[in-house]
Amino acid sequence: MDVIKTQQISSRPIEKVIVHPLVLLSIVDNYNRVAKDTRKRVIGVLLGTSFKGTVDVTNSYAVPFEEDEKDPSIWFLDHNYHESMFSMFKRINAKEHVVGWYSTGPKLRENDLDIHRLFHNYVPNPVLVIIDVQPKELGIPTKAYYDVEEVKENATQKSQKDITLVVKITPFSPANRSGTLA
Amino acid sequence: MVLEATMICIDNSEWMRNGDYSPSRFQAQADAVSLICGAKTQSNPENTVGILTMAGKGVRVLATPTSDLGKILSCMHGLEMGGEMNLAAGIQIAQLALKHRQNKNQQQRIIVFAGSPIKHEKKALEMIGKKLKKNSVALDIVDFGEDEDGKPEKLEALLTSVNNNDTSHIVHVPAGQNALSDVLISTPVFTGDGEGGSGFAAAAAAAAAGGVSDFDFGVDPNIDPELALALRVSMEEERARQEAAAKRAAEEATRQEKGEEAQPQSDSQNATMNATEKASDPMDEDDALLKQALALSMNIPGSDSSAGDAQMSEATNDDQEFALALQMSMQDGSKDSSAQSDVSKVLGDQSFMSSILSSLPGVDPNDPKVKDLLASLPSQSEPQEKKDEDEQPKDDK
Repeated sequence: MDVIKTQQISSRPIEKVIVHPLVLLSIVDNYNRVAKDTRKRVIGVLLGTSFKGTVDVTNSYAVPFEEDEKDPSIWFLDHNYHESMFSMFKRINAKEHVVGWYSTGPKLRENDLDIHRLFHNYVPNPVLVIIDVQPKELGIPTKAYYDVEEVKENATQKSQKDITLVVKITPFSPANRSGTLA
Repeated sequence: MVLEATMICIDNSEWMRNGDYSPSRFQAQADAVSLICGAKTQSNPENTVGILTMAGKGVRVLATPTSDLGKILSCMHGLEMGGEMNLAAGIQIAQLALKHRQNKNQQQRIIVFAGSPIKHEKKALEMIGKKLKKNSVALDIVDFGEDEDGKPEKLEALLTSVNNNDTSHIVHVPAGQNALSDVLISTPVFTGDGEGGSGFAAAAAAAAAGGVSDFDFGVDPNIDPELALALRVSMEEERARQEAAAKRAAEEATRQEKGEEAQPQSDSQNATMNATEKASDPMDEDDALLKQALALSMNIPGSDSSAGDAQMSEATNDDQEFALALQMSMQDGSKDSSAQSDVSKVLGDQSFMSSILSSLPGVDPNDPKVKDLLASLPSQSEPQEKKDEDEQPKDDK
């Protein structure tokens, strides 16, 4: 990652998340194959670029993930898989970085904060996008979150706030690039 | 050579700072872990090993099951101690990690290093154990470090609830002189389910203990079976060769005696020439002495063959090639003995003998004594040779 880019990312809080249709399609397809009639959820990594508070999610892939239904603190995410996969993706498109992760939710769960913490190792300001794979109403089926550190009296404590980021689903076109990715 | 995916749960809690295992509990544990990884990957190249820490900020998977030893060893580096061990979470997360192993044919195994006090209840541990058993996961527990009341019982209860056909083991390692890894080498943790997967570990132990090994030739057949076999075969061949050489030496001695037989005969000829009356007497004396000597030599070939037979049976038990080699050497021996028998046949040939005897001036072939002699010659030909040998040294003296 460029030094400039990291500065920009860390300095500006995320305001906008643009999700490209390919991402939605692959997530829904994966969910339908793997966890359709179960209560399990699918988790994966989001790739893209981030510039001046706008996160552009262009690609994604699922990762092996297991959690205990009864005990939410028991979960396992194969990060070796993620690292290998990312290194391969980087070979075809060096501009795509890890920007965050996604979950099929449908809602936030208790261990999401722990998983989010894991992604801090890969990107300074990860974004969580919850994709609703079985939407009941018309509208944008995504919700994006990022985490905020709250200092509570004695110790620091991380908490997630519901930041209703403006999420746009735009088909990829050169006009939308507006020179940021070039 | 069981195909296995292993998850090692390391205790990196505050209790690991203690120095009752040298150099520190944590370091001893790290050495043991690296030994286990080496042993597993060596026993079967497709084995995978993963590592997770149970204490610290929480259960953290350092490495998912992989067969890359370098990666495993590097993630062990720079671990920090702190916090409390969460045994239940550690085991459960290890189980989840094993669920996602790449090769579904691998047996699932978890190795837990329990060094600090266990805060879970026995019942909770038993529930976990049952779940592991249901998913056919084997569990090895290394109980070391902190010795708290009820800890062995809790671990034993966990083991009994997991154990299925004795695939799971528990090892209690008390603090003391021996390093944790040395103690573990001799336990089923290393040797697996009776398999000889401890070749690497045994070699390491041998190196550590100063070359003491239970195996012949100082080479563990598990490390290098070809080398061990080659050494064994060469030892046997050497033995066979030495015996064959001994046989040949004995044969040469007997041949020398046969060669000298002509001399004694000429001696006896001279003797008979000189002593006309007592022509047969020297022969008789010769016969008697020769009989004794040949009896001795007959024993030796006999013993040789018995030794050869024992060796042969041994060989067939051990090694086919080796048996072949021995057979060939035995054939050589038999050839020699057949050569011997050829010579004796010649001697036993009455016409030949009678012609020789007739050449002796003092001997009358028709003499009954001589006839008896001729008849007994075939059986006595070898005693004759030996007698001559005895005579010769006597004469020399």
